[in-house]
Amino acid sequence: MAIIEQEPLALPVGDRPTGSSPIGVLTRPRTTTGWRSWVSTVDHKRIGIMYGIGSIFFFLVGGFEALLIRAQLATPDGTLLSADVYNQVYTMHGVTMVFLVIMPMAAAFANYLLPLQIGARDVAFPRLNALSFWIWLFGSIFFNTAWILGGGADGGWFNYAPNSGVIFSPGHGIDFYAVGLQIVGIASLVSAMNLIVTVLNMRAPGMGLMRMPVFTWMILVVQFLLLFAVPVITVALFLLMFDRLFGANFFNVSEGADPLLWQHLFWIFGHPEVYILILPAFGIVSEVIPTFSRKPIYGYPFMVFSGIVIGFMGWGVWAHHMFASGIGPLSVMAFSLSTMFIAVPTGVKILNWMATMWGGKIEFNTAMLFAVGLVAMFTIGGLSGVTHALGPADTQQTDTYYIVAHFHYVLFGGALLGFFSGFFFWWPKVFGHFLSERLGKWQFWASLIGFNLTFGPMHILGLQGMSRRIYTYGDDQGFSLWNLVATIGAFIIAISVLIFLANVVISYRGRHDQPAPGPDPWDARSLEWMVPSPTPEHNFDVVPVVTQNDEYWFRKYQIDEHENVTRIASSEEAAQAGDGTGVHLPSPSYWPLLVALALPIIGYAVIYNLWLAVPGALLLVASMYGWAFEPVDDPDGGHGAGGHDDHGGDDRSDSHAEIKTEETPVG
Amino acid sequence: MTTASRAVKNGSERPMKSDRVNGPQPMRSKDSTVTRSMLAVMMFMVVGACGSSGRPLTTLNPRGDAARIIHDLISPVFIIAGVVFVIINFGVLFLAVKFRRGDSEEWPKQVHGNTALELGWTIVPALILAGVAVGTVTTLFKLDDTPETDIEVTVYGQQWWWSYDYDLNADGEPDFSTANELVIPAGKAVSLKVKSNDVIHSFWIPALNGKRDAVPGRTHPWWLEADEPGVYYGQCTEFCGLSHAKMQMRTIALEPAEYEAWVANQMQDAAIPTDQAALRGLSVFTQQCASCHQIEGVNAVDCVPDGATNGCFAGTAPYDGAEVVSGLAPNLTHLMSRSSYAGSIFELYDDEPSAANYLTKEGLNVDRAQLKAWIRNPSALKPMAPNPNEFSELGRGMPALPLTEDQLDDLVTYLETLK
Repeated sequence: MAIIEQEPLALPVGDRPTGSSPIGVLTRPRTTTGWRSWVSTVDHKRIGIMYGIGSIFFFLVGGFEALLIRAQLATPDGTLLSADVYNQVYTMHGVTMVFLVIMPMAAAFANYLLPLQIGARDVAFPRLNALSFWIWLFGSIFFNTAWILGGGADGGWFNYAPNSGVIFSPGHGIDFYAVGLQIVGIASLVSAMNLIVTVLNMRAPGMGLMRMPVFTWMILVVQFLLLFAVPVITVALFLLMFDRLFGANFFNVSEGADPLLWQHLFWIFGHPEVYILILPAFGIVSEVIPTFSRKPIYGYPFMVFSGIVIGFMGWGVWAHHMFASGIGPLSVMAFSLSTMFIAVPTGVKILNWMATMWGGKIEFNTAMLFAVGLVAMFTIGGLSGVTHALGPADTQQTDTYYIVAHFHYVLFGGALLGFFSGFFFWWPKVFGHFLSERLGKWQFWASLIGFNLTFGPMHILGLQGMSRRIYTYGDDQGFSLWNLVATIGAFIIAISVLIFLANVVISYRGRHDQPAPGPDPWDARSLEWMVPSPTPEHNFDVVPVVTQNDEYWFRKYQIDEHENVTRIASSEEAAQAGDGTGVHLPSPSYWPLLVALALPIIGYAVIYNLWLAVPGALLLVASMYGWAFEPVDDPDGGHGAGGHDDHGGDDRSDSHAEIKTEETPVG
Repeated sequence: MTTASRAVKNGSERPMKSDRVNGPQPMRSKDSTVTRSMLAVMMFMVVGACGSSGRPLTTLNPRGDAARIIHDLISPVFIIAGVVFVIINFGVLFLAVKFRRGDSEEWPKQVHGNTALELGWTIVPALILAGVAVGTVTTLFKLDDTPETDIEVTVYGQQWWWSYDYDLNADGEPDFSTANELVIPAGKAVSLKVKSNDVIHSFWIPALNGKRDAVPGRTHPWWLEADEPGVYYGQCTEFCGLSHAKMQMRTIALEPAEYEAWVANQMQDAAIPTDQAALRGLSVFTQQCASCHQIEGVNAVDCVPDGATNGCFAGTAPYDGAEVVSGLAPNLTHLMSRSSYAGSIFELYDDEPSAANYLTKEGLNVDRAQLKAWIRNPSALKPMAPNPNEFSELGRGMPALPLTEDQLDDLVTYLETLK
């Protein structure tokens, strides 16, 4: 990417640049070059952007893997991919999409928005936040180096034992799965602790938990799910790693192991994991739909509580992935029942989104289209999910393309459509310009049509008996037509993704040709719209005092006794100016990146040669030492982007003496 | 699409600028055309789903008691799900059309919610699901209750084929062992014990029942019943490695009398042939194949008579230094009594036998060319190892054997005698 020198932003107050345009900052004249400010950043917004870029990159990787799968399956007896390569491609596609795309994309939104939505300047532990990102990035790269080091993992994303053992999968692919996912899991765990502490401790004055936006609530529930679920898969992967690399027998049947142990451990993680994957997108559309319906979210307490209930109930359904595994009818019955009932809180959300639209004044821009698309498409996925909840029926459906259809409807039609909604919604806040609505609508319709063409027919294929994870099928099985249709759909999805990428580039290039979005282009409700766009590095000039839900909206509008809405201030008047004078922010640091770098080194050591663990461990220990003892502030004051105060702050984002909050509540 | 065309009609050459200047345009295309085309697509797909001819693995056409029990449960649930789908999706379309903002600058009434409504639409779906749950639990226990039967088969899954040990006199010992095709009498339940010899597989004959995993170290009871004689197809449905896609099986339901005749035949040992070519083939078998494949009555033979020399073929079983470890590969005693091989992916005969001529194979000829192609180079036809000449210490997958074309011919001639 070329570094283009640009004019610093003209600012309304003060003579020190305080706004930060994330793309412009790459070019801001500094004593060091731009990329260093990114690798040392502890700013939650930049970390969020890096998660976003990383997840979109791996979305292209996983998408390419998907196109390979679809190209192979377009016709019977396909010869594009051998069985061995196919098994790697479909495994890597699944792992990539779950761990390297959807989870970090949610992290992108969570990192950028959560502190803003609660009125904070950053998360509780900014260096730890950077650590999460770098661990995720290095773990993801590490996992993908399997491709050039003997082949990718090839046991499926859920990697059942004993096929995952070293006898049946002798290459290193599954070693990269076991070690790589442990590394990536650390990122999630660290981030979970960070965000939970942030939400519990750093909300703006007056922001009780029930005044937080639904998005923040959903992220909070997800962090708790991560906190308890990731350790379970870490245990499973740890045991697998020891079986494969150090001769243990946790999954060795001839030594008395029961392969179902892996399944239980995996799915105790795996089921909460799917709620981890979907709740952020639910949170996003819970912001988008009210904004563009011009109504508050219908049933806010129910939206919050249904999210919490889903979080709890999600722990009690895992063995619905094991209905055909021989767990016995009593277990099947119990998990059938719990799985059926988890549909209730999910259905409540769908109905609440629809009720939000009811009686509203709806604007169908791209963000709203994607959000409404989620409501429609997720419903389809949820309904097929209910059909699998019935244990006996699932013995016909499980491991067929009917399941593949289900989870793509909820993950693509749910999570991904939700994320695209979020991109279009928050892009002006993050980058200071809009994504093109015209290209956005082309993307939406192409992705909606392509997605339904790809995965709709898979319901039929599954019910007609097409098994999952087969590299080919015969021409006498009746699968040929719908597979061809599905492949065509997949390429239409690919086109929609290209449209999105083009949109990103074209919108960036044309950003000076459009009016600036200002702080609040959508006339929205939550606190992130109260600050200039792009968000200044310090977030809030003064920490807002919150008196109710949708605090910012109530600074612009009031509701009279006849329930009429009248405007009391413009968006700009109610927003903050972007003056960071007197705000001090956490200092950047290189140590998180270095700590993170040690992990893949140790990973390679575990797989290839334990001696390599010595430099890895040395790097780890030395970096932790450096982290713990690095000075709080750069004594020359030349660290990071402008707006930093020189007098010694510490790594806490707000020390008590320095918080500037509003004097009196507004309204 | 309407927006794009409107932007073009405005004569703007910079769509983005006109977009922003005019403001994002509201969508107007959720109209009857879209609705009608969505309906058409849905009908097409529903009709497409219902047809079952030429779809041997369909779950939508139950042909036995167990499958029917499942079908009777899921059919009304599909309908309920369909109704909910229509309500929600058309509801969304309706909302999108009816509450469009248009050019209005007004703010609508800021309704926050309605507790009664929320409780209502929490409780009503819960009640509907509770109703479905009752049906589910009763179906589950009905399905789990294997009907009384004296036919017990242990089904073994291994990479990448299925074998069946029949225990018909309930003494706990298998009476005979066959592979790829599970033969059962029509109209009678058969009790299965599903096991695995290596990794997890899943035994599934969709027309007759749901699937049951074959897990090493465990035994899973299951059952099948076919109402009518016929051929019912199956597929391994738990990822089990390279040839998971090529691990298929069939269940053949015969008229009860024919089934008894089949059983009687399976209980017999294979005879030593008299034809010289077949004898040459038998000697090839004992030298090259007997270490994995079992033929009852043959693996124990220590002299395959050579008509030409009036002696024995050299190197007859058990050949020097080798242990007979048969069992790693399908039992071939009555190979020609089946219709398929190699994980049921190849037909033995030039035309697939139906249930009617399964026993006699009347009018059918063995497809020698296909059988020879398989034996000549199995990995070329079915992926069994990344490197065809490398197999794990378990010996899974069939290696390519060093046979001349003459030996191959003779071997197939011998195999054709295994009726």
